[in-house]
Amino acid sequence: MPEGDCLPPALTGLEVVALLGCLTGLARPDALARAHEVLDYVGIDEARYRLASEYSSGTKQRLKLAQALVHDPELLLLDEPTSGLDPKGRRHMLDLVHDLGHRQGKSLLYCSHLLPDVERTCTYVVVLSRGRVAVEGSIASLTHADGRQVRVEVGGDRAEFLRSLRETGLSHAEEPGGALVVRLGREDGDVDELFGLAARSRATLRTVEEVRSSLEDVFLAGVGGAGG
Amino acid sequence: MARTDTEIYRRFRGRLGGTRTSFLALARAGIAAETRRKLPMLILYAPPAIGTVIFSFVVYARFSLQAGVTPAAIGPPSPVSAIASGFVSTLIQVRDQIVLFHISMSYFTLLVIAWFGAGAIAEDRRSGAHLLYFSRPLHGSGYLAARFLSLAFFALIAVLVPPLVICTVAAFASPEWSFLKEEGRVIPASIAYSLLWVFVWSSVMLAISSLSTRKTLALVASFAGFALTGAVSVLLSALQRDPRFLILGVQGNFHRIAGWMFGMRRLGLDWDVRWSWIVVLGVAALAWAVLIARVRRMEAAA
Repeated sequence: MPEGDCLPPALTGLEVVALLGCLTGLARPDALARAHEVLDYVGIDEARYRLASEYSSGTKQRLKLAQALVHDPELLLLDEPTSGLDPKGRRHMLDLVHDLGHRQGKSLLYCSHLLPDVERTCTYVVVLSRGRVAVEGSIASLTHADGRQVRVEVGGDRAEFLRSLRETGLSHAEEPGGALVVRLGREDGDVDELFGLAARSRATLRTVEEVRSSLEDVFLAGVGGAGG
Repeated sequence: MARTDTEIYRRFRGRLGGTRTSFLALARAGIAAETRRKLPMLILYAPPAIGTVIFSFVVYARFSLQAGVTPAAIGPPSPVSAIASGFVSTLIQVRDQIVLFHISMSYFTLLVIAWFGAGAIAEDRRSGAHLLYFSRPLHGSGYLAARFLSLAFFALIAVLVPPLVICTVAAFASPEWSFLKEEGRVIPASIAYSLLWVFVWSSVMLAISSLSTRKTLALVASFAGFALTGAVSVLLSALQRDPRFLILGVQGNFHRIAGWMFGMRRLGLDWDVRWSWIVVLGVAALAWAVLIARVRRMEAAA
């Protein structure tokens, strides 16, 4: 599924999908039947009988997805599938992509610079920078890659708790609201250690929540800052 | 859970076949796309159709007169019967009428070739459709074959059907099938000349189209090229008072080949026909070299 415009201008949506089915090796009746099925799936109804050149951006993107699905491939290469879509169209496209990847068993290679879309649809990410692999791994592991962090709100003897943190070598940062973000040092770091420190320093931990790096942080770290 | 607005995804239960003839689907789609536009079809095919009707009537009238039927028997006075009577009175042989009609009509078909060929590859490049085509198991040769077949289809309708219709009328109107017995070689010659004409001009037009990203530019370039080569050869021929300078234009060479194929000396071109073949086939070879290079680039880009 190419990113840019690529639809033959003088054919209807149905003809485009059926033609590309035929070019892939489907017999003409199969291609036509299959074209209807995939157009139903992507949500192109009566518009399938109109010229593809008259479609809106969202419908064009869905038509491009339909033509990619017409021969039911195991692997789909999607290049910026949400490019140029309004929020509703983007959501629909992401739903389709998520459905294909997680429920229909398709393998997807999804190229995008929209990291929230990637985070929502993909399980494994490869960040390329200047033609080289900068970061690679599952999204779950990448967003923990710099060590486990937790955000805590401290009650009681806050100063003593901070001193205990420094003595045990756990780095931390204070947020504007007064909460502390504590780096546990390793991915499997145990929060029980924090509760132990709080008990010894007569402090209480009102809330403890995990802090995950966003994919954007991972990306920026991988390519060497915003300028990368 | 992901949700789509319409139906669930259905797996394809059939089987993918071979793709060796899949280019025919692309050719068929090209024809379907062009036939969708009715007005250009009407404008481009109306003159050959009208010419075919008139010349068929002329041929029919000539054989009828030969068989002893008077002009009054052709029908009531009308513009058509007046034209027919005028042609008949020239006493040109039926074969010559057909050949001259064929040659003059083939020049008109350049409009058809230009119109349907100018956008054939240029529009694919502009819209990026080749990215989709070449993402399938379709090679450059298949793509070229598809585009060529689409264009040849439209061109052959304009250049081959009219003489075949007239020959059919002549065959049925002639007494004792005399047309087939005496001038029957006009039919294979017409087919051969039409195929050559369509092959060469379609190749040239597709090559021009492959060099352009807009149909309009390709149209302008093709008319400019045609007019330029034709004008230079005709001008030199007139200035030097030597018809052999017509060899510099592709059109003059086609005239020479037509004279040779149809066995007509009255076209007045007497240079060695081999030179004409070399020029015409050389132009076609050049066009295909351009086409192959351009389509390879498109394939690589996809």
